[in-house]
Amino acid sequence: MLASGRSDDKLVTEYRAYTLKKIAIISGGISLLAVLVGLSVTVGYRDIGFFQAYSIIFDHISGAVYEYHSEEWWDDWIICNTRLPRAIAGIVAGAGLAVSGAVMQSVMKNPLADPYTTGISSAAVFGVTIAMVLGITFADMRGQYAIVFNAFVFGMIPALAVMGVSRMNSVSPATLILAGIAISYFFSALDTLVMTMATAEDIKSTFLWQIGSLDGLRWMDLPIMLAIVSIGSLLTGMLSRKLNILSAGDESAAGLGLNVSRYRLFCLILLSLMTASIISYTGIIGFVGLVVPHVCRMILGSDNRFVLPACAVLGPVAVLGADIVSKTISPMGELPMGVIMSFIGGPLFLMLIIRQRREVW
Amino acid sequence: MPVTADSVSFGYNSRALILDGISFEFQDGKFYAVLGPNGVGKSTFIRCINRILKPKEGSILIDGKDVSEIPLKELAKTVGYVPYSAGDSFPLTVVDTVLMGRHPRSRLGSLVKDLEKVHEVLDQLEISDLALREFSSLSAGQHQKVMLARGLVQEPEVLLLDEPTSNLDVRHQMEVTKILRDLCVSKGITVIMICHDLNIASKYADELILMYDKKIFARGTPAEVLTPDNLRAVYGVESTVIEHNGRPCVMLDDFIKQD
Repeated sequence: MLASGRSDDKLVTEYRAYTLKKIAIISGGISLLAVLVGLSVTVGYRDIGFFQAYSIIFDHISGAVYEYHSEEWWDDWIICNTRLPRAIAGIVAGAGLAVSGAVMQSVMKNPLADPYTTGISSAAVFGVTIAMVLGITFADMRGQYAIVFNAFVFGMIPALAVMGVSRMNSVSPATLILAGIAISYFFSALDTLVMTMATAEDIKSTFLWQIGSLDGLRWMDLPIMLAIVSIGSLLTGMLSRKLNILSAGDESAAGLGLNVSRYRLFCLILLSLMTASIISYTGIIGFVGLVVPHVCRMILGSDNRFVLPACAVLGPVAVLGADIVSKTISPMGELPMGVIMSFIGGPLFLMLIIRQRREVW
Repeated sequence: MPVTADSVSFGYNSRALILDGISFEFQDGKFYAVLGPNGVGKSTFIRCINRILKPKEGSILIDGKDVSEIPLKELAKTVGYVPYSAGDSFPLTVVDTVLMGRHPRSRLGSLVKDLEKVHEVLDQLEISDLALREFSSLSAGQHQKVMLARGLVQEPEVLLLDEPTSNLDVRHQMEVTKILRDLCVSKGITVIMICHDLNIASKYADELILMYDKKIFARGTPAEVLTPDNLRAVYGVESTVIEHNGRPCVMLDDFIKQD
């Protein structure tokens, strides 16, 4: 028992209860995500019930075989070959973008930082555009690998430039975002320039790709994105305590034994890779990387040990939610999910900002 | 643990030096107060000691080892640092903020032990009731105590503090400085504290370092450093120094108008 009359055990107990509460909230988010996955695979031009969808997935895993082109065969084919990979792509993209945003906001010590405001998305898009329109790729790579690599290499340019600016003396967080936005405009201009040289067919396919959408994603599109996002999220999650220290400021972090520049570079490389791998398959999905981390902070506080896992759950909830609304309104995919996300998410976030009582950034 | 600064110079560019050839030996288990007007390089000096800044010339030795050759994490086990400002960051609870100080020593499964250490220090600073409050909801004085707690849970052998009591009222200034003094005596920690309150420094410090114009202007016991001549030359103030409980006490008379 200590002088204040409060034992060490009591603090440990209280702290444990405090962390368990946060874990319970994240678990609630996982349940919500499970429900959304079910909803996501039921919505579309073919009517399949919520529980029926889970039953079909279970039967498919169990190895059920149906008569070719029978009703059951079509249900199985639509759920397992089109809707399920699309839903999983949404989970991976949502998790990757939200985690990237949260890490970037801590690394840059800036609540406005995300892959888009730091220029990484625009540069990665430019990398994909020159691969698709001009056929310019690095080394002898072909196909999707070449596109991902292009997106990564170009995505690293603004990441390193912004980091370089951050090392200059007397640079405020606002300056870093301004630098990112300037770089973003630069790459958007280059992108437009390349598009002016493209054929009508290339312009159409590139433009449709650039609008964030999960439409048309299949199992074969998942491995690269899934592997990179999983490893990246796991690594950043393992380093979340260090991320807390980094967000306390460079001086404090160095005083606590953290090699700030090395850790920041590591994070930025990881984020660029994650963002590039997602963007090269889904196009630009804005909003998730910026807003989901803030929503998580509003609910759970700012400890990255909880914010990152929460982002990995709420990011997919946001993406799948928008995709479900998009598919409900236009089953044939005319209305991109990115548009829905901003329409619903923007006012929702504004409402949360107005109603929030505690300071989270 | 002794700390030696050998001809240390620092500047953000080669033309404008902030520190110019500073040499000093901090002895084991003593309390040092670094004094001087704003902008003379006090904070820069202590940031060179724990490698936040790298001297342009000269070297810093801790227990005979050059700090530039000690891995950062190892250095943080030896040298604790309490910055002037907590900075703008995403707010955490007080416990989580102080737990950061355990980073150099924590390992897998050490959370309970780390929490015990955190609570011991929070209790010592009489802020354990703030443990689960959010750092951003605290007053400036409470912020400083939390930052001090973070430095103390590092369990350092050398503790660097950049104006740790600037936002505290007189009573809390004395309490915190006495805690630091007691740490020197009971645990043999070398404390190097930047301070603007001449009388607090005089009351608790073993030695004072008076800095002026990028250099050490005077050093020694409080009685040797706190003289009207030194204060006039460094701060531009007229003062009367009297003895109180065996220590000099500075009474300010007037400031000298500069042309």
